[in-house]
Amino acid sequence: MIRGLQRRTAASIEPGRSQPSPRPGPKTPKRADFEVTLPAVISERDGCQALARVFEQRGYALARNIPLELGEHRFTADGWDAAARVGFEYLTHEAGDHLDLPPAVLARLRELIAAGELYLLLIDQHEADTLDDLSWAAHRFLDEVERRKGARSEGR
Amino acid sequence: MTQLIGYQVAELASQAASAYQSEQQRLSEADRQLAAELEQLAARELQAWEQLTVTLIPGLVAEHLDWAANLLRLPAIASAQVQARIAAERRALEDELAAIEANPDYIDRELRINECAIHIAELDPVIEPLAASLGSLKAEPFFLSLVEIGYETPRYRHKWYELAFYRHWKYGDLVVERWGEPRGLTTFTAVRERWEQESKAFATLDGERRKWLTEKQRIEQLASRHTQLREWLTNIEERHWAQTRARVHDHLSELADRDLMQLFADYEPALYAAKRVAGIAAKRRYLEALRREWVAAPLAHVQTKLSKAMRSVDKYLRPKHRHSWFDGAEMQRKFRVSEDSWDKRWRNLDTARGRIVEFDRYDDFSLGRDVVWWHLMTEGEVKARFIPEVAHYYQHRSTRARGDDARDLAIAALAHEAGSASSESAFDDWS
Repeated sequence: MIRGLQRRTAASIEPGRSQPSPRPGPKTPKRADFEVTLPAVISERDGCQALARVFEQRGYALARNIPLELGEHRFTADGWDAAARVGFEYLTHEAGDHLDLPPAVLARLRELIAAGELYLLLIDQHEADTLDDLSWAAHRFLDEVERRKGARSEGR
Repeated sequence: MTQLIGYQVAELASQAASAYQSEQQRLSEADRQLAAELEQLAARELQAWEQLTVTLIPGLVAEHLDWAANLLRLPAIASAQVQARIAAERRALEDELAAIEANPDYIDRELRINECAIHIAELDPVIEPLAASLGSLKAEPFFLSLVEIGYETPRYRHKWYELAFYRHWKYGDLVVERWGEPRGLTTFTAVRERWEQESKAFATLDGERRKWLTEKQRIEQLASRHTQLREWLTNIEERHWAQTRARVHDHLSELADRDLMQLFADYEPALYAAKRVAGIAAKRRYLEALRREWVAAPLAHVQTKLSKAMRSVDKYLRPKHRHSWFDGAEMQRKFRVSEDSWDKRWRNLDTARGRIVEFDRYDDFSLGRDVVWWHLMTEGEVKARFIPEVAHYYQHRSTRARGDDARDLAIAALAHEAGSASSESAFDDWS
């Protein structure tokens, strides 16, 4: 096991964040799962399936390809739980997502995420090495979402 | 009229192909041999030039040099000029030697080289582990990229909701696990700080090592230059003798063969050496011409004929032609191989080439007589008229012989003498 996977947290990398919960999920990643390789780019279909599996394991009711209104901007999220306001967007060149999420839309999304209005994991196809890496990252993302949601409700 | 069936024609074509193939192999072998002989002749021509220049300039003796300068109309090899060049070079060499010998680096060279070697030897064991450590860290995938993007620093720009953030996390952990933990470093920040410290230390130490290495090389080059200058001073006369001979060679090689020999008409040793130079040059010219006309050209022709014959075999064996009838005489003519003309060419080539290669009576070349090296070498047995000088010689000789013959006949008619011997046989194949 990579010790850092449990030891390190998003908060420890972003200065000023508190420690999240230990890594959840059904599978404890092994060292071999994270071999550094340069595989072929993961397709949107495979990537979205792997992400959806993790979100559902973590209790999210995920709908696929949901149009979202962001004020004056619109875009289609690849996975979206409208009640929890949590989802993911897999940016691929094949689906034209890079065109779908122009800088203005991305900037708006960032604002909303920073304000805790919604939580969207943004995956650039070229950053995904393996499906296991993708699943692991999704778990870490959801850990952080839960931590932030908890912090928000405590703050109220 | 004889008729041949298709497969009989194919048989004729096959026999022709077989003959062309044998001829092709024979010509290829002859070509290789001629190439080797030409290479040997080129070396022998250079030796002949060496012999001629040594004959003219047996050493840097003033009277020899002046005599040769006068004979060759080449003032640059006159004794005064040669000695002036030697003196100038000697002065330059001695001045440079004196400067080196006065240089404290040269005087204490052993001490200084030793000092450099000690410093290098002290630095090497410190630098090597550092280089190995930095090398292994550089080899870690993404390490340098992570440093560049400021991973685990306030400069880091990726957000927790981007996959890149988790990817960097993963690679950062891998670096810590593989490189940091064996060294007791548990965070990427600690690894990066160690990397920065080691890189800085390496740059300092390596810079110092390079300084000592450069210094050592500089002093060694000084010592090596000193040795070379001494050697040049020692053999200065020998080198200038060789340079003078080279000047003579350059000067004389501009002359035509006959002019070269004419120049030494009154000096027998040089005349003999010049005849050898001219004779070997003629051998090269002739063998090159023979190779071109009697080997390379027929080889190209035979290769074409061989391809055609092989295509014909295929053609006449095809179902369309195999059982068709063809004009026998026409087919015989089509696939006739002119082996008689090949034999004649081979006889001529073998005779001429043998005579040329074996010829060594260079002194037989007489300046006063109208003769060419070809005739001297082959004794007129073969006349390769495709070589212009050979064609011209035999044409001229034939005309003259016919003129003599007509005059003889006139004299005979006047004298009412009959039965004078025909000179036709002497013409052989001149016409």
